[in-house]
Amino acid sequence: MMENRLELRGLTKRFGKRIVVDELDLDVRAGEILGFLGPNGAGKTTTIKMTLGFLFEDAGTITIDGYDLRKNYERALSSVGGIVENPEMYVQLSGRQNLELYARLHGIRDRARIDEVIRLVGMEQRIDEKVRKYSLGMKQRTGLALAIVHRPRLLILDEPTNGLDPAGIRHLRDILKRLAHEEGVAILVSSHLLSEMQLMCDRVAIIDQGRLIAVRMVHELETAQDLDMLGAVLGADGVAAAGERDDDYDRSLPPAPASAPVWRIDVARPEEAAAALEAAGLFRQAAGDRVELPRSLYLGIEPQSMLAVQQTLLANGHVLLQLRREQESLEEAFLKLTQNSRIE
Amino acid sequence: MHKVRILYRNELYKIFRTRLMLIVVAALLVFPLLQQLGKRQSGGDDLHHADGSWKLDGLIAMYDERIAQTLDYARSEGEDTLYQALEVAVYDRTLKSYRELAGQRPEIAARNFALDLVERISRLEVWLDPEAAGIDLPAGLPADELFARQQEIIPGYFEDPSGLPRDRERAREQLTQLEAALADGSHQPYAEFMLGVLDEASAFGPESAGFYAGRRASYALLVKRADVSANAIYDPYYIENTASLLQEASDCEQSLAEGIDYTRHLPRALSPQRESAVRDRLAILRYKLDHDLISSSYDQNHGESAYLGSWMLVLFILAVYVGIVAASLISSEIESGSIKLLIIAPVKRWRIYAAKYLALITTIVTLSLLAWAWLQLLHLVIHGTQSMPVTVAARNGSAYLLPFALRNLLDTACFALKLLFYGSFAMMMSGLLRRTSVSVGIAVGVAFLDFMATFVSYNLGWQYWFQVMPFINLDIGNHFYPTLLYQSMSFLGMPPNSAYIPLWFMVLYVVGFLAIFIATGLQSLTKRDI
Repeated sequence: MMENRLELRGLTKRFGKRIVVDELDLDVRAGEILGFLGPNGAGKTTTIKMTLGFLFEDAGTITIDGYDLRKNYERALSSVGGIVENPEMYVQLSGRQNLELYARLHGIRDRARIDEVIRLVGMEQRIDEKVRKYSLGMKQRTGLALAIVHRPRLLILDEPTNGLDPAGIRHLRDILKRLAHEEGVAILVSSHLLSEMQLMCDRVAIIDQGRLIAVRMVHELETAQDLDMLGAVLGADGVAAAGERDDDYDRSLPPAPASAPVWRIDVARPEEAAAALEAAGLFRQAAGDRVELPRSLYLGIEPQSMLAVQQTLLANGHVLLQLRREQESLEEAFLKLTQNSRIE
Repeated sequence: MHKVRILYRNELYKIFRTRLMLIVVAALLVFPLLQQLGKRQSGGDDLHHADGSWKLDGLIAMYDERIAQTLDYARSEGEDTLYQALEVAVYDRTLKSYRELAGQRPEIAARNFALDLVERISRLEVWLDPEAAGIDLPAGLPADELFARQQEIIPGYFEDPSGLPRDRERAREQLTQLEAALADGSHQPYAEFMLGVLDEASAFGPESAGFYAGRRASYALLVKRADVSANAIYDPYYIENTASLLQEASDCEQSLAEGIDYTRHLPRALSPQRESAVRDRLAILRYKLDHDLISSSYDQNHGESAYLGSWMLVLFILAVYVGIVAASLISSEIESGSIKLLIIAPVKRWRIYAAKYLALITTIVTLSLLAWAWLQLLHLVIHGTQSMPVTVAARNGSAYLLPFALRNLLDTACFALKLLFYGSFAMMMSGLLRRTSVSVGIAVGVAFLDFMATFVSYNLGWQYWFQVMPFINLDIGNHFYPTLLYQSMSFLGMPPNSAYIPLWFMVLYVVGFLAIFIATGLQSLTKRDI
């Protein structure tokens, strides 16, 4: 059993009468990356802010590396690094000055260590410029350097990939994996890029309306829903849930119910096939990000409609080169678990 | 304390390495410089040379204008009644005589008693010989009865023993005396004459005695004094200024003798603390009178007056700046999000507050000292050491002298305390509201209100409820020496209320409010979500 670097027990936070975090229990273990998932307003950032001392909890305890946050505030926080919402620092200072200030507050005066983290996040060229001139991506990199400069035993990152380019995201992923798996740092990451979570995390904790719904190993989530190939589906509710989401699927086409299974159909002329299906009222663009393949259509559609889809395609002269049901992604699994949520 | 030191350095860096600080320092250097240069370039004023000495032609021109205006006024009233005709004749003769004197003996004509002397002579001459002045007396009123029948001639007559004598013989005597005084041209004969007139006035009862006591004492002082200062000879308000000091000294003496405080509008029992204040004040007054240190209301470009303008500029700049800085200390960090860097660090929030507060103190002290040093240097270079008057202060009933620079340093320290008080308030607002624009607006608004309220409170007199409002009456230094504020306000006839508020109350007041401001500000940062 790996040691718990972060233990949240019965953590509760109210804003007025609204309960934002409701008796949340959560552990983050040494050497793992725990993804913290939830729709907007689920209480992720509130939980992180309580953990880092921004907000005062109404009930429950926060234990960091064995120290109770309220009883041993400075000792507990000395083993945490973090970014909340956006990485914020003094814009009138350079990135290096911010790093030096923060490091000194942790009792670190070692310039070599500061240079090391600057190199690690790839900011050698611009670290002496004023933060005012930084792009969001550069701030994220500097923010990460700040978060790890004091070799924290627990790292808490709220949306760390915001503003990073694809190479930056990959770099961040590599850094986090190395910190967790080689140096044994416990890492809690929240992100709305769910595909990132799949690639980055070892476990995911799903939170909705302030309550913890499930904690799963990432590979469990990816396969669990295969057992439910023809399971009952939710119609209108699911559509509404997907419509509320701020994800990047194409709104110009009719959205599929988020809960509908996704089908990949390979045909010789996919545009014509899509037009034929659309004319028959059967086209539903599948939700989520997918790799565009030249001969593939992705439909998010109920299994009982698939016979009609095949008939329409054949009637319009399209030969089905391949038809298969796609494995459910983490995104779909996540949406299913939180399907009743609304942004509050 | 190590973490506080790190945070403190960071705060100082943020405050001092800004464009706003550059602007403020530039303003602190440039505005007083321009102001002092303006004073210098004007080469004094109508009545003074650049070196502070009196301009005789300026004084003569002023008196000439004064009497010419009086004559114009008398003429505009008409010459229908005997009194009006006499008045026009008196001022006509006065103007002619004064111009003659100014032409022949300008150094006498410029003296502060010359016009009064000429006017008295002219009045006596016209009343003694109205026909010569071209006045037709009404039938049944012989010229030799004019003095005896003043009551009928002068409308709204009240018996003014300091004015015309009541019989012709006495008038002739007075005329001889006055003509001799004019021929002599020095102070003493005129002062002796006035002393005699006022003595006669005192004989009309205790009320008149009280009314004329101050002026009488002024003349008595002049009679005794063989060599008098240039101010005593030329300052147009010398007699009045001296009289008011003498009157105040007499009030102090009476208060000490009777154990009742007569120095306030409403006399009340003299408390032990007030007694020592009155004793000190008396020592100051006596020292000033003994050493002829009577300040002139006209001395605009020298000494304290020259300094006062620059000092006011500095107060204004610093008050606004401290308001802006203090009111954004907490809120700007929360608004910009940079506070996150400190909150994530293993630092208790009170340490963040302490570092900010210490940085605020450092800023106030540094800027105040900078402004003080710069003003002393400017004054020295532009006006010279002669224009740096000493201040008379007193402790335990004995007077001592405070050098110009030291007194100004003490004033600066008092003002820095006020800035701290005000800055603590602004910082509290910053923490409570967490909106820089609003808290800066409130802080700067309070600074303006404070200045206004200070003046209003003086004008209201001794309304004690008003004096306990925040920000007013932090002139604690006034309990130890006459502050610049006290001196300048006293000059305007509005001695600050601080002189009457017990020291213990002021200290309690300052400490109490500071504690409230700091505690509330601290709570707003440490006990609330961010």
